[in-house]
Amino acid sequence: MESVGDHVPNGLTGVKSSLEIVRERFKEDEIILYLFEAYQIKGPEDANRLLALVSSESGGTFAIISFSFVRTPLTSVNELIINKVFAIDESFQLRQECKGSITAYQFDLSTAEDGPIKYYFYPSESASYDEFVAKVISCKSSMAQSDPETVLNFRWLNDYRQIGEVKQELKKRESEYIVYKDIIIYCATWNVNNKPCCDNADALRSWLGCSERAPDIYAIGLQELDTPAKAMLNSTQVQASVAQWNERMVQSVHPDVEYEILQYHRLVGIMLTVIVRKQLRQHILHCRFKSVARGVLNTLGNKGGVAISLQLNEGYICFVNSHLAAHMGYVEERNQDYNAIVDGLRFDDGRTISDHDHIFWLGDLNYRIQEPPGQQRPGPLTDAQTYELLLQYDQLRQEMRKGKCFEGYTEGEIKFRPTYKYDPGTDNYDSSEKQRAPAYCDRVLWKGTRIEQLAYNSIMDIRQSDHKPVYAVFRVKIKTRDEIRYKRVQEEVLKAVDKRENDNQPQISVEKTVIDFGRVRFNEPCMRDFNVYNSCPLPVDFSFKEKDIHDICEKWLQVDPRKDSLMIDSARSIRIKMLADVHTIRGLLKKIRSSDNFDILILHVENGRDIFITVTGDYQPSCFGLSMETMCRTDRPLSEYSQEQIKHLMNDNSQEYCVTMPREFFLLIDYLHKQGSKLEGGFHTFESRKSLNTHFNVVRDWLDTWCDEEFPGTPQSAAQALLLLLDLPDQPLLEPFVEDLLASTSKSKAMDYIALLSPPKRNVFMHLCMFLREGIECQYYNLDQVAVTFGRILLRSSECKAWPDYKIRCSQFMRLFIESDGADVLVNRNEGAGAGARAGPRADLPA
Amino acid sequence: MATTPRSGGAGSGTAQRPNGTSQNKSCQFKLVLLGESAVGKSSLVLRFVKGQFHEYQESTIGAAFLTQTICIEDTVVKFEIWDTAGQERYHSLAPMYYRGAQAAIVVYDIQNQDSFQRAKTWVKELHKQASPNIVIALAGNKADLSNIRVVEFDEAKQYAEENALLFMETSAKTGMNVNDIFLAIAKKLPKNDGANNQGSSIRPNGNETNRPTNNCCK
Repeated sequence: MESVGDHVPNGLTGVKSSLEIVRERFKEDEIILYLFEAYQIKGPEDANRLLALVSSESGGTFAIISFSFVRTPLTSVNELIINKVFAIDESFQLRQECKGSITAYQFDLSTAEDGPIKYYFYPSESASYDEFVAKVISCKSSMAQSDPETVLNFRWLNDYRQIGEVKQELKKRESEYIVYKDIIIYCATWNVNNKPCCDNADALRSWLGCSERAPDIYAIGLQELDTPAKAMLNSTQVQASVAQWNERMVQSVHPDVEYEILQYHRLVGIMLTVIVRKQLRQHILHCRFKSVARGVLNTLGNKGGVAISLQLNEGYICFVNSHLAAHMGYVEERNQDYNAIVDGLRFDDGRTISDHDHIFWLGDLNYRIQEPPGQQRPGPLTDAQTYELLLQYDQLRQEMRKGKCFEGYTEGEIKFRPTYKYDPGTDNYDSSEKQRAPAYCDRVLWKGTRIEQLAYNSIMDIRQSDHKPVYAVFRVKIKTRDEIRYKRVQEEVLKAVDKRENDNQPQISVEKTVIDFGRVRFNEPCMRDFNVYNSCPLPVDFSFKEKDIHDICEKWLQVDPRKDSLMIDSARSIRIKMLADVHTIRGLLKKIRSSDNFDILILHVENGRDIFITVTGDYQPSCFGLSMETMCRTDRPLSEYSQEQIKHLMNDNSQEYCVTMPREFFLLIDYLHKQGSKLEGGFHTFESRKSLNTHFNVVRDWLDTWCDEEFPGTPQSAAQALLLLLDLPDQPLLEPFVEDLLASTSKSKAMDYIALLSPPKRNVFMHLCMFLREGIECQYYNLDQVAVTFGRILLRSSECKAWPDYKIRCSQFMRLFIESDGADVLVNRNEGAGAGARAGPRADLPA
Repeated sequence: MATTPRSGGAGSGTAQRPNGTSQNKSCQFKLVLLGESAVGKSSLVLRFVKGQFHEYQESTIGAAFLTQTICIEDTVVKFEIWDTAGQERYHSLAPMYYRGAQAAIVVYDIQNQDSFQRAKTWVKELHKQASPNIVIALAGNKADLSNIRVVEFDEAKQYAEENALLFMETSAKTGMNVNDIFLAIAKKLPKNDGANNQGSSIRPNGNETNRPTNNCCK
């Protein structure tokens, strides 16, 4: 983690760092080694990407995960969308480009299944980029060093690339849904010789309207559109001219269907316009353009090429319009121009010209006829033999044969006159002084599969230029998705992926889903073990899920282990410990009141289901933790009650009681009273009241069975039992008046509240005070100690505890009732509950 | 170790389809099934996910997790389904499952009035405690036994309308309306994932710059 350090991608600083946010997207044992901000060029805009180099401890492997995100700075993990996943396996490659200035800031990522995918980065990120690359290389080399026998584990990546998996599967089954659809492509080229566009609307119809069937796509290339000098002087004029040409072209295409301009692109005087049938538009998924400038200094752009790339359904089509170097002797320069265009032209998605299924190259290629003596001028227009003879000397064909240019391209048969050079306005070849030799400058070539040329011709009766326009018509079979079949295949693939995911879900089986502790007794820990088995062919991680109580289980339970891994075919024993003791009894009794179980644990299988484990048992009721009211409703020893019966008594809100005060309490007071001074050291301190020694359970049983025998413990254990009896119930004895009593300053005021307590509580309180007062009077107990300890127990309060003088108020209150003066008042208001104590043990209690 | 560099041939691009032919958007939703014990929650999921039906479906002790992906229009919707245990003793654990869920199917058995009342309680609880945007569907299951129904279709439908719930009577046994109810939920769920549909627009006007400008935020 150190390595990421303070590196925060540009523009991504925020309250929570991007790293923290991205980290949330990953599992605990997946570590982000580096975060690098890059971008991809998608359509007209850049798309930001966050590349996370991640290592998985469980998989022992590395991967790069590319995220797209909605905004910067990132504010939440939801804004991250996984865009690509690259496993760093042996096929993984990070390829850097080093051509030209723009491409210095780009690189490709690829794996056997995917890519190469191009990423760009901002120049300011260069340093981070170097660090990123170094880390990627070190990850890759650590992969290479691993034992070739071991299969790299990239299972962890499946969580991040489900959609990618679907895509791969779909690609594999392509043949099931791919059909080939015929479309007509009309290519046209014309060197317009800087002449303005003609005025009448369908002036170009004879050039662009030559196909019988209405074409689906037109690619129209013009060269020498305006002059370079003019172009630099007046750009609005150029715009107007471009607009006019485009308008004329779209007016002059086949009249039967509606067309629109999809894209045009211009490099100085070279313009390429793609016009498509309106209906076709929705099937065109991408359209990109690019140009390569050549000409003066190889940069000015008076020569060069422009190209438009488009994706129609599943087919990629590229049109190139080029104007190559002129003049008879410049064959080599023309070849160089061609090669410069082929090498230099790369669309923004990284595609080159040759990365297309169907390529159409048109333009004024400027290749001439290597003057055969006496044959410079062709004869009659229909003289096929003459064309054939001339073409033997055609530089383009010669160079193509030599493999110097247009490798892999095809050109149809030429059955028209050389298209250059005419006296403008006529069909006559150059009559000027220069007497330029006629040539087939204007050509249309193609490369790719499933292309059939239907026509290739020039138009003689368009005369304003020194070139004649040329057109070619093609029938192309475009790879197309049959949407119905595709949907069917896609659904099948999705189903298969779901099925695989569901069927390969990690499974564990548990020996039992109900853990029954049987009889559970107060202050007697007990435990149960149960087994979990791995019942699937994969290693499985399991853990107990944290519940809304912020723990995996209730306080009275302990689970060990809380999480673990299970290898294939292995089992693990899980131990659950149950502790119904002074610390947990209050919560446990509350749970028993509202539920028929002690707890439900959630056993979670990583990437799989949850199993509920119900923990039950039969709690043997004891006096500890029960309210005075509940105890006063009992008519027999607590050991004779079942959990269900005590649950019923705990939930009983009636005002009817079997006794005036709990017999267990009365027995303890009685015993302590008789022991008098034998209670050495008086009562336990508040702090030590809950530490029980091992003999305590005999005291518990003596109380819970109403045993007739002598008290089995020491006076100290009786004192402790008394404190616990008062302290363990959910409500303190003086509830609901704790706050009022803490605030009351006089005994009489306090008595008003005491009188309102429930009879069992009131009686217990009065009896207790009487007993304590007597002990203090006899100097058996220390007044201060008793006041402090009992005050805090009887007036227990989590709210008032925060008061600065809470402890003082507690003991002051107690003093009101246990100091000798004022005793008479107390006795008068006592409804005789204490009488039993005076008259002798158990006298007023029903048996 | 050596691998030949691959040219970016056809098909390696990241195709973005404009509306109509696109299959690119993909969303993931958490869906939870709630309802009284034995109304057929697991059977509905089993029918939806695997196309199966077991006459004696064992009782769910815990929460089963399954995924199922469906296509609607141009979107691939992946459901992460949590099929919860219906027994009352597990009720207190239900919030852990419906919390954070984008959709819930509350199931009752048309032969069992109590299960319908229980479904209403679930709906109330969801309205109170689940995500405020949760899409809730009410499913009156075991519709193949409509001749011995006790919960009238109209009664449930009216209740669903009053509480803005999707409603269908379903039968995991025959498959009736099972896919439909999930499909209806998928349709109602919001599927706006802005980052997934960039770059699909093609501008008809010429653009003479060599390369789009960086719109990075620096």
